[in-house]
Amino acid sequence: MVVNEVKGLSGEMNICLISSYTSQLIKHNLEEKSGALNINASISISEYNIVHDLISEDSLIYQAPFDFVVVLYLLDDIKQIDELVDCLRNCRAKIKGALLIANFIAPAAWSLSACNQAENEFTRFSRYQSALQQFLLTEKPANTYLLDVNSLAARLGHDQFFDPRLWYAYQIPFTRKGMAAVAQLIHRAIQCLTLPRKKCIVLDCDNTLWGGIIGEDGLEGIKLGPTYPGNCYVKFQEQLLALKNLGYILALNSKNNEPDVLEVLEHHPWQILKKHDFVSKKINWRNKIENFVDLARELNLGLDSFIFFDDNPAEVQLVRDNLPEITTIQVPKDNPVQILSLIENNYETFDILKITEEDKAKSAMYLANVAREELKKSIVNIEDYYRSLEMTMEIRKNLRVDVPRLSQMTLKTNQFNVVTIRRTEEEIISLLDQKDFLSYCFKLVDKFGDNGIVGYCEVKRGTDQAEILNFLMSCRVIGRNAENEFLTQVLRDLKSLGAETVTATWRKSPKNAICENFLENFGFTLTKSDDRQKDYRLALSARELPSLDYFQVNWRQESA
Amino acid sequence: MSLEERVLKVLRKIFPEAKADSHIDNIEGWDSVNHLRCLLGLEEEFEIMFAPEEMEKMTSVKDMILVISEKVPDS
Repeated sequence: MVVNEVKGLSGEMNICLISSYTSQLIKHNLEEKSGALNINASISISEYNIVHDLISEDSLIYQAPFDFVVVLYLLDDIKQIDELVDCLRNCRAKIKGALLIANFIAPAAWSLSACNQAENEFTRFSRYQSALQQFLLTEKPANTYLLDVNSLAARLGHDQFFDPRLWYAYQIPFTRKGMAAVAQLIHRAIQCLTLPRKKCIVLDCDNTLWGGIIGEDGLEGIKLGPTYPGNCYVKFQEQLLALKNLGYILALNSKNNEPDVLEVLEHHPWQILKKHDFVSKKINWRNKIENFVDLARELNLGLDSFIFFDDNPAEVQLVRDNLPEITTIQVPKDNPVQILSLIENNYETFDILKITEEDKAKSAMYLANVAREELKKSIVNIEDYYRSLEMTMEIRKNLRVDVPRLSQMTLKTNQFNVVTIRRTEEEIISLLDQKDFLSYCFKLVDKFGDNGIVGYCEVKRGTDQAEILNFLMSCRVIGRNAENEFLTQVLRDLKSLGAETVTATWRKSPKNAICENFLENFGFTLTKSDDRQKDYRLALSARELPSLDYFQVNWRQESA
Repeated sequence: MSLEERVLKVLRKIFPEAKADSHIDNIEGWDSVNHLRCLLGLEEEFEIMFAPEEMEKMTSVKDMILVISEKVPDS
């Protein structure tokens, strides 16, 4: 299975719902919702026991390579939590696609006595819920996520969510509204795992990060602090900080005098977001559109990666009209409490399910990038610049621990992606099981920090020749010759394994013009070309493969 | 809009060909799932609730109107 953006946008997502209750109506809701995704849902309803159906080889979930398997049940359907977790673990190992698991819905009894008993439905609920959580948090099963049906029920209210009439007559537990909400939750998860996500939250300052106008009200006059309305802005900043910790990067785009804003960031006692929390600060009197264009270039992000918060309707309109790719969120004026619901009300924009180490460290990496750019400006000779970065490249070969990041890079990298083959984690794992397949990736560390794994190359090896199937590099490290050093190292390894010739291909995609001549410039010979693809060959025997002196190179590989 | 028109409006979201004389036996695809979808749609449209017994006998547009008119005073 190859999940790629094209598939997400126009292809079909095959989903299997397995449930302990009648879920046809949820399936209908889900299919109607599809929107940008084309969802084709199948359904398997357990008449006897969902746990049994999860392990049975005959179960529908094992009959086709579904992109998503969704498991739905209620507290009362599960007799043994350990048994359920075992079955989920087992199911995870057998299916290829993502596994989405409903959590348990908290009981809402009227009875005063129930919760006063030693063992009751509440204690059972919390035991079961924490066992599920434990399974996810400690075992970290790949591509497995919980659906927080419990919060849905709590938000809607128990009586709005459950319909006893439908339950006893048709085995449908939920109201029409409840079913729509469950379908929407599933849809959100699928969308979040399929479509590219936003990366950078850009904020206005006055009446957005704090109440009032710093240029007029001054440090003491702005509303930011422990009492209303300042406490709303403190809370809003905390919400933004939480998003940053999830992997978003933050930036400012504000019409102000820069020193005024910096004074708040550095000296206001209640300011949560500090100077270093923002990767870039456009605080000036220029048009916000120009600032956005600069930000996109500086951070190497597409405009569709930005979310913009501003309280001024005219600014919001300006961005909407001129840069429609940017998601804009109007901050309500004169209603600070409403600001606190902004993120929640736009949940689809902020959903994140997959967080890699790179995501967490992203903000630090962008900051380091900005510092690198500054260093670059101060150095005239480019080789001196590379040398001053003190770069260490760690080449990692066939390491299975890297698979989540490798898959993520194949899915997200658009610019320096020579062949643009998107791969799921499962797919890479099954390739690694093949003897003739080699996976190389590299980690790049420099004096400003660790960039993490930023390049990936797949090779299929024959007796005396090898084929580069996939080659890509994150846009974060473009412009340092790392791609050339990485390719050199891969080719040296292939040569030592007996390869005499190497073939490779550049395949045109909407965004990869930047690497169109990469193979040619490296020294490959063009053997065939049309307007969509260029095929290359390189004779290794006739070629020296000198390393670039400004990279310190180490190797790590799976021991045989 | 008359009650009949409102009923048909809801039904046509599921069966575009629904008419005043439509009946569970003369519309293709009127199975138990679509039956429920129609009824839940009607509940929302008229802000009423049907008992399971009523649901079972609402198998034609005429029967639907009959049950609904008992529950909606001004229709």
